[in-house]
Amino acid sequence: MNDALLEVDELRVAFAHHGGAVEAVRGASFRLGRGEILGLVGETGSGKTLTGLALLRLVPPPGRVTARRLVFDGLELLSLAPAALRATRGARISMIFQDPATSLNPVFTVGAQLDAVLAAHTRLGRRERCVRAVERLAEVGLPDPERILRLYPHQLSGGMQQRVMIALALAGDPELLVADEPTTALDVTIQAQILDLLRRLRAERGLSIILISHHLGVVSQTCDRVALMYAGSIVEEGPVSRVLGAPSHPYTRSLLGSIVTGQRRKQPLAVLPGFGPAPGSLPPGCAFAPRCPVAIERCRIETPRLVAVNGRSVACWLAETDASNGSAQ
Amino acid sequence: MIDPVVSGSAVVSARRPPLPRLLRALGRDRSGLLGLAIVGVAIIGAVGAGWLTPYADQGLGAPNVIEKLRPPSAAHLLGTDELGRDLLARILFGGRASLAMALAVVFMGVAIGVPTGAAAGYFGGWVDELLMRVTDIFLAFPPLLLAIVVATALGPGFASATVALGITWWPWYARLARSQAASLRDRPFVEAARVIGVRAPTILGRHVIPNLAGPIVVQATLDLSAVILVGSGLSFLGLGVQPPTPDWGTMVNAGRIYFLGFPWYATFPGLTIVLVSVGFVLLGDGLRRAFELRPSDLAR
Amino acid sequence: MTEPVLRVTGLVKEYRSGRGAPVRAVAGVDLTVVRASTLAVVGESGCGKTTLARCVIGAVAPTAGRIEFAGRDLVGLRGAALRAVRARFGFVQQNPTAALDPMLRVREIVAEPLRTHSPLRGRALEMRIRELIDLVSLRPEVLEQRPPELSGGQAQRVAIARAIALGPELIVLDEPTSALDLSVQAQILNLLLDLQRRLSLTYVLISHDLDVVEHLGDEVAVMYLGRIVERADAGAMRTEARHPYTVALFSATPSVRADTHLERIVLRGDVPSPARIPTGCPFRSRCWLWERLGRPAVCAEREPDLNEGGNGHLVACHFADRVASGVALSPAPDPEPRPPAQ
Repeated sequence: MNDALLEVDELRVAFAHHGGAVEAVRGASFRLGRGEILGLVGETGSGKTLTGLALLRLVPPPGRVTARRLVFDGLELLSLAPAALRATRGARISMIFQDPATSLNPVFTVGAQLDAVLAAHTRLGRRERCVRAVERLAEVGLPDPERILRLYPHQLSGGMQQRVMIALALAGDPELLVADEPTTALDVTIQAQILDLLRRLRAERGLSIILISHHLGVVSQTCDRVALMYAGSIVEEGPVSRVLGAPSHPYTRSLLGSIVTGQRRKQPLAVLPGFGPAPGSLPPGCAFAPRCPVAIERCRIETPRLVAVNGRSVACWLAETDASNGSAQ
Repeated sequence: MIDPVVSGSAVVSARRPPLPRLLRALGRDRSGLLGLAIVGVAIIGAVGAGWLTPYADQGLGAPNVIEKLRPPSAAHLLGTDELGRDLLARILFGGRASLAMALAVVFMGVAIGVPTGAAAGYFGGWVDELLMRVTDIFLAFPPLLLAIVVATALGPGFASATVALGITWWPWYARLARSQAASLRDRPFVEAARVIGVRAPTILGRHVIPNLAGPIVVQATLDLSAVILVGSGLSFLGLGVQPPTPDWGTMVNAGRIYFLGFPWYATFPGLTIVLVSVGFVLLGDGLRRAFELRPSDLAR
Repeated sequence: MTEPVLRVTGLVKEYRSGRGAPVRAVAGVDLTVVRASTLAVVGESGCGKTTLARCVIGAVAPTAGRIEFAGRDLVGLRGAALRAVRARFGFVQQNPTAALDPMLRVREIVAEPLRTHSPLRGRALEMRIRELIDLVSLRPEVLEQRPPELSGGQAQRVAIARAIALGPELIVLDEPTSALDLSVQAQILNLLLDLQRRLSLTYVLISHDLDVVEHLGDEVAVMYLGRIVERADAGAMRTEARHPYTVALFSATPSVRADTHLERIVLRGDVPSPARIPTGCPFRSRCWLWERLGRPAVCAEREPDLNEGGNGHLVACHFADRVASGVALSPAPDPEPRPPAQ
């Protein structure tokens, strides 16, 4: 009986717009176990970032977050009072963002920023906070942490800034870290360092991570499970090796077919026709149907729901019928 | 075979073409709309003065001494001045001078300042140094003193006041345009034009100046308000429009003497100056917000 | 032997910063690009690839060296001569929406190179514009739109149409797909390949993405701190890389491919600032091979030259042969054990 750290059931994020509300996240459901790394993958407009923000209730107004259940370690997040929410953010659930340069306050030293987080979430005295700050910086692999405490963000390289951001996020000893495209703005070799760091933190601390990314390669190498989002809902979810190795959903297949791998050099890549979905004007039925190479009539009428098929969850009528017919994927 | 890509705006954060989007954004901005309304009324009042009042002749200067210094009544909504002329008519016609001067001065400022500043910002180096030193010289002139000097040379009146104000105003546009142009110079699309081999003057006219229009328009609108105030000040001192041509500033000056017994004479033109000035400020602020407005990112 | 379209010799670009020695963004680069082929220049931030590209297209004046294009040395050209040469280049930038003037319509954007350099006007100009739009697979309706109304993919297509408008001999592409979504990247890469075949275009591709480089490139040059450290055929790069940095780059590139058997090498530290380059070989401070070989002294004393490394590669490393002998090509266990599946 596994005891999930996070249970998300029918998460919706809607924005009020003249003439009604537009749903950017339409009923996302998934679970995250302790010490697990889940990848949340999608292109622009898929709703992946908003999903991450919703977990910390950081969705900016006029966005509204609703869910049937949004439970973190037994705590229903959506009904937390402001004080309890503040105590949860940073101390139990934390988040890091894409561009460290804009996420760190340029007018405060690294030490000052770390100290602020520690003061907010621990009962340590000043000197102890200083010691803890040095420990955190060392934990994220920064050399000479005492010196870095005194530096300002602009004096650090991109990779070091990202490490500082991770240190800040972990200062309160959270159990869950939401990482929104943490390496997209970084060089490849630095990216490798940061991803390695995240995996090490998981191993050493039992940290659970939700890694939001548009890069399938990053997710494939770093995550245990992956959830693919399209037009605000999850279309396929399961262990990385299964979903990316033998995809069931036509979108997953198309995506994998169109990424550049250097394997078929100079050959045209399989291309997804048409356009990405516009949140305000989705077609009835499955949002992917207009671009789907194997869409059937039912796809345009009824929205498929996530069902367990072949060791993962898929939201696709064809995959469902194929599975019940017993054909292997 | 390449898949044909359908053109169309199936884009998440769609932004519409400049003008309609601007108007739409302005439309949702209440104080901006109020400003637009005030300015609209002022313009209509000035242009249509002849049709809006039965006292057009008085508005233009014809005396009616029998009714001098009457308080506001049904016949004369805002009262009369010391020559018996209907005050409302005088204010309506007076708007012509004020608005015309404001428009002329701002136009001069933009026409001289923007190309100068844009060239300085775009080219940098010695061009920038030279143009900015010239600009600094003009910035040093105090408007009032300059107005007196020009009035001495050209004789006081609408023309000399406008010239004097125009000379002191253009440097601000030069500075604004310069900083905008300097930041535009390194933008990818401007660099692309250089790489294509477009000549510098063409780049300035085609790419740089149209893209700095936004802040300039906002500044110009706010300046219209300021010029009305300063221009009225000049007229108040006798350096601007001369009687009998109606002008708000001269009316305030004339009404000054009669203030204790006949307060409406100075008050109404004064209130008009303030109101129209505020109207331009509200409109300018509304435009500024409209230019900065971005549609909320719906989904990421 | 086909005549190279572009030949760069000894290119150096220095920037002076107030005090101290000048910083070399490009420190002596030699390149040739053969007609109708793609030379990909790969490296991370600070390696000088963008500066190199901008020197080639004339956006930046090099400190030293020659750039021979169409039989003339570009360095030192001015005025009308420089403008005339610019007509024979195309340039596609990284961020497509920023590369297009937001106040102009697509029609005017695509027309700009034609108005500047060609005598086409009126109907003839209009026809050429439509032809270009069609070549990049966009519908004519897009001509009336402005850049803010376009998606990233559409904007990049417009930028490409603009770049090929005058039928240039060389197109420099600076990270043409990094700002685009995955599915759109595929479309643009297909378009670039198709255009290259149809119009015999020559590309210089600047990128940090090794997969794109492998896919589009014929020859690859790897840059580090302003120097080329390796140069080889694109197809052979991944499996036969000779320079430790190249090996590390490929190892660090996250991939969905199941066949990657490269040892996982994670470089330590950051790229040194170009103002303080290590003595001898600039890569020494992060070089895993240097560590493994016991920190040989020659790496600190002498900067390696770009030499033949066997099998057609040019490598700048004193110990390139050690890399070839399989040091980096062994399957390695995953250092981070995953928790048992739930």
